[in-house]
Amino acid sequence: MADIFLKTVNMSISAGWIVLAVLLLRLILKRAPKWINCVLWGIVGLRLVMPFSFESIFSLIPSPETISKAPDSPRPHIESGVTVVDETINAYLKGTYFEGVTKSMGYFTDVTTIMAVLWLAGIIVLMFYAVISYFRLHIKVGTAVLLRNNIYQCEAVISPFVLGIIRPKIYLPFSISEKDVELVISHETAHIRRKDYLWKPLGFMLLSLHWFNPFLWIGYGLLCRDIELACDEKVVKEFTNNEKADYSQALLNCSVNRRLIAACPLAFGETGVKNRVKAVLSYKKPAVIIIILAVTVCVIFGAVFLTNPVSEKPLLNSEFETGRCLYSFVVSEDKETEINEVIYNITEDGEVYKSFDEYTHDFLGLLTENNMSVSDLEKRFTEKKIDFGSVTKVYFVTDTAGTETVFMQNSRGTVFAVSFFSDGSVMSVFKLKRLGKCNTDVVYPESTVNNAGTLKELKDKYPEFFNLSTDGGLTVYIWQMSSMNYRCYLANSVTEAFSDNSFAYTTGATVTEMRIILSSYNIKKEDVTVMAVTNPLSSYYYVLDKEYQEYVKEMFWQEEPEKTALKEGSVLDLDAAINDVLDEKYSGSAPEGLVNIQSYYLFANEVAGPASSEYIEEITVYIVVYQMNYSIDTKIEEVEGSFVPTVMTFMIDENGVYTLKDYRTPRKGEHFEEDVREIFLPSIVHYVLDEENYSEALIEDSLFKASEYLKNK
Amino acid sequence: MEIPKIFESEYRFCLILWEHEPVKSIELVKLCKEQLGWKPTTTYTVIKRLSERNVLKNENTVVTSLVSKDAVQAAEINEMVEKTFEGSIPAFVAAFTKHKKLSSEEIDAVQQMIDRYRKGEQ
Repeated sequence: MADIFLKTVNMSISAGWIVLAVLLLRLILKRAPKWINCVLWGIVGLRLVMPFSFESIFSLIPSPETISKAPDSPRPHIESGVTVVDETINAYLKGTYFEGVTKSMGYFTDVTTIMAVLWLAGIIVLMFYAVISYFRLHIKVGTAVLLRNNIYQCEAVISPFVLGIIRPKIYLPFSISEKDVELVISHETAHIRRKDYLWKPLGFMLLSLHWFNPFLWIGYGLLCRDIELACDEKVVKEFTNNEKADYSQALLNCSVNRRLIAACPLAFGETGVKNRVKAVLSYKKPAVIIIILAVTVCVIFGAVFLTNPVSEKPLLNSEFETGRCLYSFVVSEDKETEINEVIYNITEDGEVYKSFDEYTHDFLGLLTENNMSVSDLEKRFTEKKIDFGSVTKVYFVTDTAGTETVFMQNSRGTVFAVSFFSDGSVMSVFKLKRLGKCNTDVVYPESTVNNAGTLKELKDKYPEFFNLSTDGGLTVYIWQMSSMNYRCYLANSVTEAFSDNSFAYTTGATVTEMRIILSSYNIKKEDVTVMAVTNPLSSYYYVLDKEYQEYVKEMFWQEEPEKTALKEGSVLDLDAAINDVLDEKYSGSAPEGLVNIQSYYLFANEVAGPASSEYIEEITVYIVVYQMNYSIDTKIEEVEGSFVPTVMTFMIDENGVYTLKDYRTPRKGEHFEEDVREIFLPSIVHYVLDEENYSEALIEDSLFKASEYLKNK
Repeated sequence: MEIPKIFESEYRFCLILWEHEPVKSIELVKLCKEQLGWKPTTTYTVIKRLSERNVLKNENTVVTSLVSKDAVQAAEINEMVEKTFEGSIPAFVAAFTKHKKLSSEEIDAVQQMIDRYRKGEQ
């Protein structure tokens, strides 16, 4: 409902602009017949009624959607079309509502809901009032006496009026003079012929939907005035001067005993009598040329105000709901589709997509177009008869080669992936199929407090790998997360033959762990099959050929991973890399006699991918570090420490060696929270800021390390 | 005896009654439909109202008047109209039709405008 309300408000604001324009035009079109004015008001009415709009380059509307925002989008956003206003207000909103929380912003939703309710209340009140008044009048004229045709006389009226929507009837007071009667009747008849008995109530209905907009009240009042003047003109068109004088007299006579007249009944002595008399007496039939000009103005007016400005949104600076595509990797030879290279993607809210249809050939002509905007692409989709709809959400990913890919989601959930070369030209276009939602715990592993663990611990950690039947053998499915990081899944070879890789989203033991798990089975080595598979979570690029399969098998059974000649002190393992960095940063700072011990909790890691080559890679880890100074001699005593959220980026070379590239921590004190929001992924910021999520585990781990230290002393 | 007050529309009804009385109410309904354009329910309501005010009596569906035509004072009618219906006309949107009653100056001014026009002065 708040949605409809916002839509109405936006429509109202658009209409407000038009009313201003009409006011201006009325001044310019003074010499034109008054029915032209009514047409202009009709255009305003149309604008209020049309839920959709055409876009045209003629549009003069500053902005079709001033207040944008579905209730479930992160942050409200103003786009009035006036830059200074937009920037100031949006800066304020940015400071008040934080981005990235994909749950709905309760505060903003509530405010709009309250306003929507108030709005509804206003409408109900106005409509109630209108309906009641109408019926009371209707009852009062029950005893009206028929004069002729559809003209009645009754004592309920002071001023003549027209009442009725289906069969309009004219009501005259008994007290009207013989001379005036016919003139009054011709005015009211003119109203009927112009269908004013329909326009006025319709206008009132529209007004009640937009009761909060003062411009529209002004517009309605002026509409009523213009209607009366137009009717006067219609009557006196062919009158002689004397007849005009008689008509003016009738106007005056009927005004003498006036009361305030309603919106529905079309009255005779209503609008400023003086002005009307003046208008009648000075009326001259307008020249044809003036009428033609006036009509032209109306047409132009319609084109200008009934259409919306074309929305220009450059694709790569999109203002849609955006997200990040965390993982994206390419697999060759997928049997389901006939594409040579299938892309798997996972967005930060856990949606998994797989590329399904390629449309690159439909966009071949566009390979030289730079800086395409969303509307350009949408147009192309329409031209090529690709059923796309309009973009509602956009995900971005950039790989190390500088290729930017934009994943555009339409309102039906279909996603298209468009990749661009660094100069902005289109490289490829794929339609993606949504496979499902994955467990985001895997995307954000809960903990890498690193021990391989005992068999019991492994049983707790991977219950699904134990007590499997060994009939027919066991298969170890293994996939690669990074150059030296493999994950394994265990299943019975016969009963669980996986055709897809859906299991890979949910779990994975390390090689060491898996070998320990295998040791719990009474099975020969030759009955264990090791099979390399693809994994949607890994952005590690590799090709599943025979060579690779052999390599993986060999690697799995080796006692220790092969080490190539490496520089001294080089690190092959992410965990070791992180610990090395922490040791460097903190151990030296421990005061005399104390030992600083660090442990960390990993929220997420992010690999910039797809990697363009098999070997070079970059990984960013988002962790929180618990560093504590201990006094350790006979017993362990905590002295002083803290939790430090940290973001580290490592480069990994072809030998699998990690080198620190970037290290960021938030400032202490008042800038802490804003820094965290800046350096961490938006979707995990709230985990990071809430110590309860990790403090227990980290403190425990730290104490464990401290006790190990004590043992080894 | 005080003459009961009758509204203009009721007066028109009475004219029909005086012409045709004594008359069956059903017949009266038909006549009112023809001459006044009234629905049957309206006619019955008016008959009831007027009988309560002792303007007519309705016995065994036959209606006869209790007041004669001459006795009714037409002059009172306008007065009643003013008093009864004062301010009862609905005002949905009073906003920009800024009419209050015309002041006598305004009335004069406009009248002058019209008069001068007739005389050929613009």
